[in-house]
Amino acid sequence: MSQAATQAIIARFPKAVVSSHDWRGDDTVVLHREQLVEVARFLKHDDAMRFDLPIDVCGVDYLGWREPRFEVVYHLMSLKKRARIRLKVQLHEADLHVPTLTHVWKGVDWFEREAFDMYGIIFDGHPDLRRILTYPEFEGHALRKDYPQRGYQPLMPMPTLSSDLE
Amino acid sequence: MATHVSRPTHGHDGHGHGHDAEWAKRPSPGKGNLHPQAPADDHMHAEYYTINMGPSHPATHGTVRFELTLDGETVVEIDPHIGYLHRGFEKMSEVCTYGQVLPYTDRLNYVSPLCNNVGWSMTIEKALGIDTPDRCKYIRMIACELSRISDHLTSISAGALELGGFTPFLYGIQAREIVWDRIEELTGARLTTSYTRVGGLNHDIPAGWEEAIENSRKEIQHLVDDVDKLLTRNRIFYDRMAGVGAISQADAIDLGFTGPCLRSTGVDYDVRTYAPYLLYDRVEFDVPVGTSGDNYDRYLVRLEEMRQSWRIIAQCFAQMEPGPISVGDWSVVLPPKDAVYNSIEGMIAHFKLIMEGVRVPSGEVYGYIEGGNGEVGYYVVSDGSGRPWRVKVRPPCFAIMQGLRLMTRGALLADIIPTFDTINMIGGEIDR
Amino acid sequence: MPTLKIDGREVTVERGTTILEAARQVGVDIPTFCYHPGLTKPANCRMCLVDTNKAPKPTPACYAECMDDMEVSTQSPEIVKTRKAVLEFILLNHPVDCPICDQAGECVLQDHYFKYSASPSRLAHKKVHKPKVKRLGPDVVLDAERCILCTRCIRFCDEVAGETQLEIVNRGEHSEITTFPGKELDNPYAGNTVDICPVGALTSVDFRFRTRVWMLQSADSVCPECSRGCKTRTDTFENVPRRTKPLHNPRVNDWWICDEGRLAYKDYQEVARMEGPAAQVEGKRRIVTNVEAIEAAAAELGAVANRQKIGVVVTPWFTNEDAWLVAQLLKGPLAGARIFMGGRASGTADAILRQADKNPNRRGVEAVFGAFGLQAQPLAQFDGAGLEAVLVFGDNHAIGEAQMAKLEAVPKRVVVSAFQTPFWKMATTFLPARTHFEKVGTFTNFDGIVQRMDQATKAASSCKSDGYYAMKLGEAMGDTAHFGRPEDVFEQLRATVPGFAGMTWAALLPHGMKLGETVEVTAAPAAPEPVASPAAAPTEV
Repeated sequence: MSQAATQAIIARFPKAVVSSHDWRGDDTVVLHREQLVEVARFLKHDDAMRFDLPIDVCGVDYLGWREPRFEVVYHLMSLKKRARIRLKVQLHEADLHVPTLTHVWKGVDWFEREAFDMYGIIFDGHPDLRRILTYPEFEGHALRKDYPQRGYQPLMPMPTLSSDLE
Repeated sequence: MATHVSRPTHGHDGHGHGHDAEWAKRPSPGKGNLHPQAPADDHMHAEYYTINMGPSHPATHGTVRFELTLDGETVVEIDPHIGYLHRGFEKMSEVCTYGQVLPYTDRLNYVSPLCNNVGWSMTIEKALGIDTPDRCKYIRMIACELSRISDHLTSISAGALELGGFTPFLYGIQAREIVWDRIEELTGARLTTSYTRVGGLNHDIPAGWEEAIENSRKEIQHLVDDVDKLLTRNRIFYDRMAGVGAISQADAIDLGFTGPCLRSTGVDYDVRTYAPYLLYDRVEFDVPVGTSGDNYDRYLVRLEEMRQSWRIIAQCFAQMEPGPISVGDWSVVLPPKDAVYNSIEGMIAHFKLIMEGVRVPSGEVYGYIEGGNGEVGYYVVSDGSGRPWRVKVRPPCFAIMQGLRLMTRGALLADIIPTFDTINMIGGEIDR
Repeated sequence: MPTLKIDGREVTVERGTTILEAARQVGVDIPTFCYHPGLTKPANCRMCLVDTNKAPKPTPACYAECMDDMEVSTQSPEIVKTRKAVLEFILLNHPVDCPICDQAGECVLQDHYFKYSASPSRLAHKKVHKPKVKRLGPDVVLDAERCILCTRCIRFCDEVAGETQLEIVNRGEHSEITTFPGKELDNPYAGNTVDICPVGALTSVDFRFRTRVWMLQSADSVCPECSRGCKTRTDTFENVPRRTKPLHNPRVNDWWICDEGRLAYKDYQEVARMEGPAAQVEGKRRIVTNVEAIEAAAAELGAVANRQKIGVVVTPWFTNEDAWLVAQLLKGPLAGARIFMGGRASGTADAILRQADKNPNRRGVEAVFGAFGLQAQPLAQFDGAGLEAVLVFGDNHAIGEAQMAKLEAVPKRVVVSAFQTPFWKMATTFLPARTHFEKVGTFTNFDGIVQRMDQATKAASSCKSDGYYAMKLGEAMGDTAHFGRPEDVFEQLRATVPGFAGMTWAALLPHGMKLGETVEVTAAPAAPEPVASPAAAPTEV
């Protein structure tokens, strides 16, 4: 059912869709943040959709490539229709809020926590938005493009620069 | 096709529960809320207390810590803390070429590294829009199935060990050693295989390997049958597994379960049949499913899947024909060494592939295969250069570990151990 | 104004535009070897062949002019095949040298082969061998086997450097580049032939086998060796500059740079770097902390109540921002001090790039000082009589021994400099400075073009720019203005110095702005900063 879910979303929520594509066969719909929950509920509960299996949620940082800087990417699957779809929500750096989908699929819980941990994206309404892979004292968000490849954390011993002071 | 795994007729109800309502009522974030007060009218309750299990507990292999709130011996709340093995796979991938990422994928699910290798290569091939030769696909399938066998053997034997069954553990590990010997012959390494390449394989199967596999199959089948006999109808094992850590089908789907854990609840979702990749549509095999989604079903499903894997391997060898194992395009796969050392064309192609990597067109793909534990997915964003812009791994046990709360709440402390075993969390994969 | 279609994209261009230029306008990539926008077009490499409806055979895009109703195809099967054939032909006798070739990693031949061919060799015979290490001139070595005979170097010498020194001899596969008998490739711009060589045939003696190019980190710079201020790229490895490459700036240097400027980075590695602040402690000069040294300097200068008894030696090596901060010191706390303009002595000039004034920013410093009514005498007129303290910025002043003796005769001597020079020796208080490689700032060239440069190497934390010390000295003497970044100083500069008003920090990239020029505020009011390195933290002055 290539493109069927995309077409259904466009038909049902014409204002919700920013853009869509199916590069290499991956159906992708970019949504406005405001309609995300609505579309998610539709995708899960509508009989023609039944995207019941939450596969993945992750953030992407496009710093220095394109605006808006952040994206939250959802991968969903329908066991009944054997179909997959990718939803994306674009976020500006100044406003990193996106509604949680934990009340639609319980399984996005940890995935959203990870996106929060790695990118600082706030999932509004998430029941338990804590860091998951790093620790509470971690400063910054490790997968952001402006976090250095070799970053140092307050709880890590700092290398000393012998040339700092004569 | 899906077949139900058969359970012995004796048995009794366990204490695992899973309800939507309970999920909704779980404590909200913050440490303070993890200590709910005992009901005032219940005089039998002692005060709840909190203990740490792990991160270096013998049963928390893979390094994980459970923050447990206990009412006596009953688990009131469990909060798994992961991330102890977090080594920045996704961050590192952003500065590596697509080829350099491959060795890192070995270390994701380190019990079935070949599945990760195959998944990664297939994802990049999907982004490139290329197709590999049939022989490459058959070898990849054999590699995947061997990996799956070693994955399931690990899960089953370690589970038996932690319930006190040392003999089945030794049998299982002996079988796994044989699998790894064959994998070593194929790839040169037991765990850090790095066998596939974008666009093909590193090398063809060694001479006489098919025979070695056939001999190993008999040996391993024998050992697995022994494990089966020792465990499946063993009263102690059965009592510790059956009805414990059960999860409903609806919950499992809603939590994003995949692999044996989902199939144990009766859903026949297997990437190999739902979206046949490689040449899985040319081989016959059954997808074993359970009924109750408890530990025992997960054990049975894994046991049966190993047998199905051998079926697949046998068919692959039967169908496989001699031929190339890689696409011939030098802008994707490394030229043969003879061409590299003796012609400038091969030299340049080698240099560019090693130094700058294969150029993947700008775009995003999600590639997925059936790993040992469920759906292993790679979401890759490419900016058109030789290095990925973003790599996201979808580790199957990440989603399944979320369910540990539902599966063990209300159970006994000791039930966490078999449940955690059959979930088969792999530290390298969940923490990345 | 012919209108044509390139790969289906319609474009209207000026009469006389080549297909290649038109294609680049619409973003269609046509591979080239011999074409260089700054040179004439011989169309001899055949890499840019395209199909048109105006000719039965493939046409060289770099040479053919656009015509009305032309339909150009750069991706037709014919052309794809043609390119493969051209590459196969070029690579036929190419040695298997990538592992030992300095060009590997930035080689156009590698790029084009990998992108447009990636096919195996079909050569059944032995390759033709030619001279491998042939010294063409003081800084250029030829490897004739690697040469693809694009003739860029020959054309550069003829057309830009104005000295005919190179030629092709022999015929067919035995053709090779060489110098005319009795001549050397020794013109003052010879190094550019290495830059424009698309392969590793011409390599620089200076850079040969020093660093693999993929290990280099690059930063945009401005060459400070004369008042031309060529736009350059400084390539560093392990925080040490390894080479200088010219960048394209049509307002200043086109694509070129002189060899003096190219090799000047080495001069800074030959002198001992002084990174320790020093001050008088119990009558002896000792290494102290930065803060203590600044306090000591402020005390020495502040003790001279009659500011006219203070001499300040400024230098045309200040960035505009440094100059502005120094000007604040000179019109504020040190108002009345006598100002002397130092700098290097004049040198060779020619009609191509080189200017006689061997200092990068004389025009900028004069503009800034002029705006505040500060008059500077030449350092040559320095007469120490009556001075009680002297504050010297910089250490490359052309100064005679007599003059130096007069400086040393001044009782209190505060020196801001980077290297071990006589100025460092004479200092009573020494403040370690940064070199231009370590600064972020702007230079104004002789023509009034203001260009930005980025930090190429990191300085030790004790080393600060001249402007920073001026600001800190001002602070210690009662001035309260404080700036964090060169951008902030530049904002003040725009507001106070005539000529800079119309500029913005962002608009100075990529080609700089001329004094008095105003940035055109079009659709995008604030031109977004191009994100070069996302990890770069704001640089301190």
